[in-house]
Amino acid sequence: MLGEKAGKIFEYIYKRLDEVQDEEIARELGLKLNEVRKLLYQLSEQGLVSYRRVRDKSTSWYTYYWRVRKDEIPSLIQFRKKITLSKLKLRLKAEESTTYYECPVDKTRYSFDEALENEFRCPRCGSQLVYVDNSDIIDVLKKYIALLEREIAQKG
Amino acid sequence: MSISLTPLERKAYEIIRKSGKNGILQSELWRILGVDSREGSRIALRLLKKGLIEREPVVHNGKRTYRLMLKEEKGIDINIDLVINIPCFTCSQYLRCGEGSYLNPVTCPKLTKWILSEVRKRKQ
Repeated sequence: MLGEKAGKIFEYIYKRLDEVQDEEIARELGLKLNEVRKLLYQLSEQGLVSYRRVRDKSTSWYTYYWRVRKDEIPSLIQFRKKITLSKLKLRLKAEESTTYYECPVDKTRYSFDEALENEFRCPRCGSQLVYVDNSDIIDVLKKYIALLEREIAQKG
Repeated sequence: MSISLTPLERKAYEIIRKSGKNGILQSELWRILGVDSREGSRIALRLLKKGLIEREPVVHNGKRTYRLMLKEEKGIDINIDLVINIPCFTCSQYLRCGEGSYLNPVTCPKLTKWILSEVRKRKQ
């Protein structure tokens, strides 16, 4: 979701039973501390990890203890499934309501309106745009939408 | 909920974890740990309260004790086989992506690439 390094950090905290300090993560994974902190914040924005902040009385610096929000993960997954479903539906709507054209040279796709604006010529190379049959795309989208809807419904 | 363990609790947890599905008797645990039965049962109780382990009462050599085992991980009951390859599922831009905005599912190159690869799979 946030790249390989974030994945490693998440895995590291996940395998640990309790809380982990960011310094330890950086040391163990051989990453820069500022990088680790940035990724941890990104992970916490996604709701995957959370932290506890403790202030050192003598230095008044904060120490962060991170942990994985295991109990939140199923609902997070469910949420992302719903997001994915909504994106696929938007795409399906567009594919069904518009006809598409493409440049035979660089394969860039244009909607009917875009093609009309350019008089059915590729704005880059001037080739004649050709009609594309998107029925396969629609089939794939419909299939996944149906499967996802079923999966989301099962979880309630 | 914050889980922090003392070194002894951690050691006890590790022993219980390694004992696998069958678990370990509480009386065996405190002997391995080298503590007395009172301390042993306190450690077990703390791990229990923290939701890390489960226990069931058993009778061993005529004495009542508990069998301790790791709590079954909850939340592993998720299935992402279907969605994991759909780029939207793992996309970090999902909040900025929508109808009418610069990033949108209609023109997204990542999504297009995935759809076309699915189309190709079907044809094969």
